[in-house]
Amino acid sequence: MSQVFLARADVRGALVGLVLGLALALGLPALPGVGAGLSLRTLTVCAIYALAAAGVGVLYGRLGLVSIMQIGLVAVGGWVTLRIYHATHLPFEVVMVLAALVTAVVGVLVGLPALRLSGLSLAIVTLMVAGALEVLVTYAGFPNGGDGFLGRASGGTLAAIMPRPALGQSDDDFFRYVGVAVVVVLALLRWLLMVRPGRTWAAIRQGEAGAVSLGVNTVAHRLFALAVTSAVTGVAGALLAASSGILDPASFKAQQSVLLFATVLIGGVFSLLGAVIGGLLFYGLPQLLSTVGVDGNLVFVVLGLGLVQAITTTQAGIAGQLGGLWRRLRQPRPRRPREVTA
Amino acid sequence: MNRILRATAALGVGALVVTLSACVPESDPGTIQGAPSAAADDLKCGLGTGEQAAGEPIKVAAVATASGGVDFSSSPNSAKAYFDCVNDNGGINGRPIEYEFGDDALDPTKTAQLAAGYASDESVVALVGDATFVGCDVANVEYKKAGLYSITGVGVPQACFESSNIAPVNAGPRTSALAVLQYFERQGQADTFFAVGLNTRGNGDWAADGIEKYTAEAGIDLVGNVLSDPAESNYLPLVSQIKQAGPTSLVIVDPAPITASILAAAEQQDAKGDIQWACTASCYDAQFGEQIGDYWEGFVSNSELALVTADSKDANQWRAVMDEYADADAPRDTFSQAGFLAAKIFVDTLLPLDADTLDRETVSEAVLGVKGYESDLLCAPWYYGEADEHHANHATRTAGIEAGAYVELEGCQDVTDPDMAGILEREQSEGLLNK
Amino acid sequence: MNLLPFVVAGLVIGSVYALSGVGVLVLYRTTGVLNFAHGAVGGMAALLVWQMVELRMQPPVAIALGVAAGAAIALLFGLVAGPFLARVDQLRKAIATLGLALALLGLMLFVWNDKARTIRLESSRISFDVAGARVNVTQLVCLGLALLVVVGTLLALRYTSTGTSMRALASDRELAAVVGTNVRLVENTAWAISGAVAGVSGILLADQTRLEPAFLTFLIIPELAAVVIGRFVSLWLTLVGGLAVGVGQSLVSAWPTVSAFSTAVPFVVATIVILVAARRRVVTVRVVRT
Repeated sequence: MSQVFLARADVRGALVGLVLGLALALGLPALPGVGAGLSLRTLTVCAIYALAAAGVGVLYGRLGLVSIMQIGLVAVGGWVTLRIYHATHLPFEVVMVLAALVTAVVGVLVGLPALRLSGLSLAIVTLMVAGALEVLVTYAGFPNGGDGFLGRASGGTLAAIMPRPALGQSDDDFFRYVGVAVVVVLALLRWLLMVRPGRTWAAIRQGEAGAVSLGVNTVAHRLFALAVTSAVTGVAGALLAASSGILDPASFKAQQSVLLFATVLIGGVFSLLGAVIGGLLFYGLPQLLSTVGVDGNLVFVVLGLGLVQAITTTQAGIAGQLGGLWRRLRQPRPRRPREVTA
Repeated sequence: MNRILRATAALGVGALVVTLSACVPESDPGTIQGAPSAAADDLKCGLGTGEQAAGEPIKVAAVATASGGVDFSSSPNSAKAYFDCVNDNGGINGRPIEYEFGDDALDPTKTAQLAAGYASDESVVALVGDATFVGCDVANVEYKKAGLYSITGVGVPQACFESSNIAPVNAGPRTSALAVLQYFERQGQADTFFAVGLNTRGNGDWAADGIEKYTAEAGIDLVGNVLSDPAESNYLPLVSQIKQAGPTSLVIVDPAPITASILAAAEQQDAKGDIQWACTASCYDAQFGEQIGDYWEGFVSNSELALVTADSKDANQWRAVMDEYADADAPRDTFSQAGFLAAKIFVDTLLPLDADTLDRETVSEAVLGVKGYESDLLCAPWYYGEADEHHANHATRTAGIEAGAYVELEGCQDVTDPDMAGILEREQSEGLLNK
Repeated sequence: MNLLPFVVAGLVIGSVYALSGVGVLVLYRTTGVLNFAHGAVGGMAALLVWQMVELRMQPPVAIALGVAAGAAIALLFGLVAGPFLARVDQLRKAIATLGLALALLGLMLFVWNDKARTIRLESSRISFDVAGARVNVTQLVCLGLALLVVVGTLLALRYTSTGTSMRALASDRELAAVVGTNVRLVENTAWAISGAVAGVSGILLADQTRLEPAFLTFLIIPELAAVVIGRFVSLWLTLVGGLAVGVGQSLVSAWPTVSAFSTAVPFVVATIVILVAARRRVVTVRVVRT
């Protein structure tokens, strides 16, 4: 049984990804040139946003659900993290799990009315939720050790900062910490996609009527998917809050949600590699462009046009193209002699 | 389809023709109307030798918000212009300054990242001319760990003024708002007062808090202290609130574009009335008077540094350096003055030192030791000093709009802030105002 | 409190939402593309008008060129991306326009810095009192134009040949192509018209609200709310929807306790409408299932 399981191509792919991910997470800080300052910090945040990207990717790629509100959910995760920490001072790991749970609940509550929707209606609703969450986040601000439910110190008092987790105090250690957390969460997600729920989701994407006729409770499954992806996004929010100990509403605008959605589509929605690429594009590309002296605002132009291109010509995104390249490299040549001669 | 294509092409060509024929450049961009012209001596920056510095470069950096909806890059840009001028005039005793700034795109996470980046680069000796709208708190954590100090050009949120390793040259929104209030108080126009701000943490609420505390102390009737959502589209409620409260004077503590929208809504309702309208230094900008139109003749604004038209040594040098070393269309505003001043303070601090020993440690020590720094751009001497808060600039000027342009209404006046007692006390006890 | 000024302001903004919504709707019905970039196109037009006026161009000429620029941007996107978009489903079509919105937003932020800008139409300077509310001519123009565009569009769809083709495309694209409708021409016309409408509404919104790129780009949310209330079909209901959203938003903002959430009104209204509509559809699915 286990050998059969291991022999499956997708399982082998996932295991290779897991090993590679762990190696990168643990080894990257030691590399010369990467292991200090700006680039490492950037990669840390890229890894965090890869989780949010994975949420978008799974919803769209596996269930055909468009969610343009993911950055809003990151904000929810971050808010809950800071709130729980300032109220209880529990260890970060506990806070992170709690934040994931709360974000899952929020994601489901927000998504609940939209569950019966699909396609365009859902895209519109989530875009509007993104707008509404921006209003809400700006109104509430982020907890910083103040009193009351909002926990927001204002006026003359200064903000309190949440310390980093004990295992990730320095930048190097924090990158490893984030890296391992991201790989573990992505691995769990990958596992979920390979077992029954994932296959059911695929069936729903293939055709709702078909899935219903097979006796699949589509609403329950969508609810579950929404909860899982929201929890993953909540973890991203928690890690982001831990990264600098304090958050600002300015980081969570509706346009960021649109941008994230664009990068995920450019990266590729059918695999988690696409999510990682999406995270890199979302956060690493602006940094890269700004170091070579390109104005930060032009990132929007690049990614916007990239989205149009991805939608019209390359559905599987960069990850899909990489996958295609990989398969072509491994394919023994003689199989298609005609192509070679032509 | 061809028809449409042709129509579009025709339209495009037509547009081009009309644009070209209709444009009459009014004045040379970049120069400031009403300002005295530059003298040759103004370009003697630093040592003033006129020789290119060729030694080993000294690396200096800055973090500024340049994209993401807010553009504060005029501060690092003018700092760069001044450093270029210094490098053309013998540098820091022969060593040129190598300057770069990172754009945080209005994202505090990115501010922290850039800060960590510069902090880990041991060759960066100091930060000069920073201007960030967000993230002073997170940046300070990084600087503190690395023993790095920033002479910030423009600080906006509270954290920029209450950090151990950050000291801004400007006065900040809270001081600026209080300055407006106290100007009206001196004019006998503050029987009842109204304040409008932005609901942003550590910024709008900080300024509102200052106004509340001061009015309570001074016995001024604060009839309104409203914070609005940054994404608000409809300023009618605000205008009718103001109309109903009927204050004698009012201050708007918002970024300039929002202030302009509020004024447009007020003009639409003809709500100007007998109220004295004013805003903080954020709308002290040459373009502003012309944008809000003649309805607002007499509109008052605070200016945190000298007016851009001022005729004095450092103000003249700032204009000359900008004309020579910066882009023609780079803004000539308070932020630009602030960046220039930060750079000048830095250069004047390093020049007496031995150029060969300059590293992060020696530079930090020298920067911390700055006190009693005088410039005609400022109202009172500027200082750094070892402390958990830095707010040296708390004396400002007031300007008003006359015929679409700002003119000075009142010269330097010290601003009273109930929460600044600690800073004032330290100024005296540590002798920070004297060299 | 005198609520009349709020109702007036709400009606004015609402009518521009509706005007904009009509542009979205015409394009959607003809090409199947729900244009998320409608607000961004309007923002671009408004900023171009500002720039041209700043360069001492006559305001009427500048406005005409701004509207033309809106039409040109939309048409260009239609010409370049249209053939590709025709092959993908409605959801992907809409997502592609998100890309356009991002690109335009970035371009606007890049070209125009964050200094204060206002568009002051000449007509805004003429105002008069109506029962305690101050009304200016631009506001009357907004209301009138929205009505005019709805009626005009209805008439054009009914009585012009292009209008007939548009209706044909809306009801069955394949069939329309088979019977000899020039699909590409009709689609491009729809793009240009919708772009021009976006330009007009962008300029009016900039006069009435704020002239800032991100702000104008995300006004697509209340504009879409109007279209949603029109159930993606009805021009009249879109007009009603726009007015309802505008007035609702304005009235909510009149009460200080809830005014912070006035920007969320379009979202709430549209979500409720979508859900009610979806509920009906679910019922039909159930009939099939049993």
